Order: sequence, then C-alpha cells, then structure tokens
Amino acid sequence: MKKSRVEKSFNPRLEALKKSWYKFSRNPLSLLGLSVIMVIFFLAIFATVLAPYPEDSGLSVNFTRTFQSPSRQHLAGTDEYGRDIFSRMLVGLRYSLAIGLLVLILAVPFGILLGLLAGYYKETWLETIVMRFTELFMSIPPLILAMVICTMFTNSYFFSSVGIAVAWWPWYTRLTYNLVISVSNELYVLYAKLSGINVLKIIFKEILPNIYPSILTKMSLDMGSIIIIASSMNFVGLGIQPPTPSLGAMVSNSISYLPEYWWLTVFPALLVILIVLGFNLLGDGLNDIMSVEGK
Amino acid sequence: MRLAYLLVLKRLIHILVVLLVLSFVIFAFIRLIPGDPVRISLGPMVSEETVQKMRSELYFDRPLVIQYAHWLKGIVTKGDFGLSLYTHRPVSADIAEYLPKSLELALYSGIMILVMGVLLGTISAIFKNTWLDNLVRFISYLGVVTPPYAFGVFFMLLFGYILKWFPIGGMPKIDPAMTRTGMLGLDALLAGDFALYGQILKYMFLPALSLSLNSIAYQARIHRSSMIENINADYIQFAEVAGVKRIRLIMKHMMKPSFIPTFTIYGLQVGALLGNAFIIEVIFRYAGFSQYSLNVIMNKDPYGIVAITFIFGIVFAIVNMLIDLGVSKLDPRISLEV
Repeated sequence: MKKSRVEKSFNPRLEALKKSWYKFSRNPLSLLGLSVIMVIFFLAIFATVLAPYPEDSGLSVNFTRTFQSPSRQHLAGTDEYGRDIFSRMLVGLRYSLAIGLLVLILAVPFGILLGLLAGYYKETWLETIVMRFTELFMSIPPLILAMVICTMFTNSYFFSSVGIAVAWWPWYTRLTYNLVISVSNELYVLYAKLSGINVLKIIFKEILPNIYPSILTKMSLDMGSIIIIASSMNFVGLGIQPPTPSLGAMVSNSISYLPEYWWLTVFPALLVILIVLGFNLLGDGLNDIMSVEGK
Repeated sequence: MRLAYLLVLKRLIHILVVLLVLSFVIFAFIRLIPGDPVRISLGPMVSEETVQKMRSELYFDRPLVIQYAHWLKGIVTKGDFGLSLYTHRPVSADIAEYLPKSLELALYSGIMILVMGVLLGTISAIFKNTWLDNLVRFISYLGVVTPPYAFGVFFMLLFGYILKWFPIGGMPKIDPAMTRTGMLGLDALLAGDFALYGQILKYMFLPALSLSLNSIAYQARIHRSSMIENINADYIQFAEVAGVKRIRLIMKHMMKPSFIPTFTIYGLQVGALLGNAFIIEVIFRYAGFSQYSLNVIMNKDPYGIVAITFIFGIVFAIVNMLIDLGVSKLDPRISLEV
C-alpha cells in the first residue's frame, strides 16, 4: 500500500509540469499575462450577464441618451444610438476571442499535420509538394489573402475566420517541419524507426509530444496577431456584421465623431490592446520556460 | 559576384512560377463565386444583351484556361491586366495611379523603421538594465501589441485634433502638370517646389508613423538582443583591451554583425508594409494602392483582385530577395543557396 503511493507520487510528466509552473510563476510579467487572459475569458463568457445594458449589443435605439460621456451609469459612454459602449465592448470581446479560437482550431491541426508529414518524409516527393504548396500561400500578405477569401464566400463571421485560417496554417507547417527535422535525428526516433513501429505511432507518440511546447507558445502569441487581423477586417466591414458589435468596427465607425466623442473610439481600441498584451505576455512567459528547458 | 547574378536569376524564375500558379488559383476561385461579376458590376437595369457583350469581351463566357491564357497574353504583350469592373478602367491604369502613392508611404515608413528601430535597439543595448533600457523595452512592448489602426486613431486625436501639429488626413492638391512619377513628394521635388514637398511630408508623417510603429518596436527588440549578444563576444573584449575608441567599437565592431538578424527581420516587415497599409490609408484618407485594393476586394472585381495579389506577391518577393543579397554582403559566411 505504502509502496504504491510512492510509485504513484512519481509521475515524470506531472513533475515536469510542476517544474515548469514553478519557473513560470517566478516571472511576474508571465503571471500578469495569465491573469489578464483569465479575466478577459471570464468577461467574455459572462458578457451578457455582466453587461449593464445587454440589449444594447443588438439593434436598440434610445435617443434620450445619445453621445453621453463616460459616467457611473455608462462606464464608457454611449454612442450615436444611445447604446452603452461598455456593454457593446463586452460582447465584442466575446466575438474577438471566439474568432481567435476558431482560426486556431481550423489552422493549427491542418498546419501541424502537413508539417509532420513533410518533416518525417524529408527528401521525398511528399516534402517537395507540401513545402511548395506552403510557400504558395506564404507569398502574399496574410491580411490580403484573408480578405480575398472572406469576400469570395459570404461576408460573415464564420468565413472571415476561414479566410484568416487559410492565410495562417502555412506558418504552423513551417514551424512543425523545422521542429520535426531537428528531432528526427534524436536517438529515440531512430530506435523507434529501427524497431519497426508503425509510422503513425512514431509521428504521434514519439515526435509530436516532444515538439508541442513550441507550437503551444506560438499559438499563444498568434492569438494576439489573429485578433489584430480580425479586428482590422471588422474595421473595413468584413466579418461580423452590424448591429452585432465588433471591436474593430466600433473603432472605425466612430472615427468621424472625433474629437468630441473620443470615448467611442478610444475605449474599444484600448480593449484590443489589452487582449493582445495579455496573450503576448503569456506567450513570452511560455517561451521563457521552453528556452530554459531547452538548455 | 557571379553567384549573386545566378541567385537573382533563379529567384526571379521561382517567383514567376509561384505567381503564375497563384494567379491561376485565384482565377479559378473567382469563377466559383456565386453570382455573375459582370451583372453585379453593371447593375440590374442594364439589358441582358449588354451584359452578354461585356461577358464575352472579358472572356467570362469562355473556359477558365482560355480566359487565363488571354489574360496572361495581355500582360506579357501589352502590360494589360484586364478591365476593372469596379472603376471601369484598365486595371493597369489604376495601378499606375495608386501604386506609386503607396510605395512612397511605404518608403518613408521603411526609413523610419530602420533608423528608429536601430537607434532604439542600440540605446537599449548600450545602457542595458538601466532605466533608459527599461523605458525603451516598455515602449517597444506596447508598440508590438498595439494594432496599427489604434495608433492611427490615437495620433489623429492627439497630434491632429488636440495639439493641431499635423493635418488630420487627406493630401495637399498637386498640379496635374507636375505629375511625373505619381509619387506626390517626388513629383514636388522634381518640380523644384520645396515648400510643397515640406507640406506633403507634414501630411505623410502621421500615416507613416502609425504604419511603422509596430515594426519599429519589433525591430528595436531584435536589434537590442543581437547587440547584446555581440557585446559579450570575445572579439569585442579584445578590441576594447587593444584600446579601440568606444564610439568606433560600437559603430563598427558591434553594429555590423548585429545587422544580420536585424536586416532579415527588416525584410519581412517592409515586405508586409504594403499589405498592412490599407487601414492606415482609410483612416487618413490617403488615396493609395492599399485603399484601391480594399475597394477592389470588397466589390469582387475579378481582374482587379488577380492584379493586386500579383503586385503584392511581386513586391514581397523582390524585397525578400534584396534582403537576402544584403545579408550575404554583411556576412560572407552566409553562403547564398543557389
């Protein structure tokens, strides 16, 4: 009984995780990033509950309270229809995070899969085809590619995510490809190959678990970039359609009201900065743990 | 030197192949779009006959491969990118009008990125772990996480509306007789009108700054870390012991090797400038290529979309090629892969 507890208490993966968490928690900036992200997700999930005027996230008009400056009733003021900016920001935040996650869900598995194949079958026709195909998608700026794809289909929230994902997966393919090449000469991979294990098992059980930390770091940093791209697309009217609030569109629609009604642009823009800041701090924190472990 | 020519040649062929495949894919995609682009462009009031005529003029009634071949032939023989269904002009005329304006904006941004990024990175590295370093690092962190449109809006509010130092958007009128290159500033210079040039620079400052700040911040971070790597190198310590003056030490021995990573990143940043500019051009009402691209994309203008992706691809590829050549000049150990 006692012996089994000792055995149970030594779990190498758990120990490694504890060690990483210790290193992570020693850096106040990383912790700040993590808390910002947690608060943001909390706000996004309970947006409609927390919003003081949830009905303002849609098409509601209240001409008795248009263009009110920030006050206790309206923390971030009201817009030209008398809608509460703070409530709209919370709901916009929810959509921003949803798009970021959706893009990663669409782009990352596809990118990783191609990268694993191209890296494992190095110096074969498969590598050539996959890497040339990847290059093709990397040869024009991601924002332009995403916009072209979004307009080709229906201009909606879902297809703007698809557009960004199509522009985004090549970076994961390239990263995974480089990582696979760097570990494929490691002894454990060679032994696995020599012992005749199924290829799929080598790729998913031996290679993938050893490279995923770097991919995870990139995902955290990319959440920020994707949210910037998505809000830039909202800015010009691609993606989420009004009256549903999106942070980018909230900024662009109210530029014409500068400088008198500054709160209409400044607060949504600050929220975008806060989101991206959180994900970047978190990503840098994760990156620090990895690079220490690597050495 | 011979190697460099070979590299350029091989890269150019490679770019060409990539662009050909890319444009074909986009053409194919456009044919898949539901709805008839010609009908959308001409509106519902126009008779079916006219639409049919236009369709056949633009080769929309022919198979995809033939339409593509016709389009390609137009480019190779006449530099003709087809007819824009959005502006109802040849796409090449639109490009000639708008592209120089965006290139000029990108040029000023590119200069700002290099000068300010390197300057901030160097200051930060030399005064490592002092308050100055921390300040620069804090600012560059904020710079990296702030989207360009937020910079645009904040600067417009602060410098345009509150302090009134800079105009809030648009561009000064330029005499059509002066137009030679299409770049407003350069045209003013060529005409010898320095007052106008100064005015144009004033209009360009806020858009160029908003466009470049992300990259400046990123560049400063990269340059700082590569400088710090070099400060600890053996050859620097040796030079210091040998009595090389500090200014010379920093400017020559530390700067030159530090430029290699800086330059590589710089290429990526500058290559992306044109693509990122559209939102800045919208905010500051600057009628450039990026804003034109945006309109073309939003209006599903088939020939326009193919042309702009083509142009973006070419600019991106040429910038990257130049950077690779520059890096190999800086460090002879990095051999050019031919």
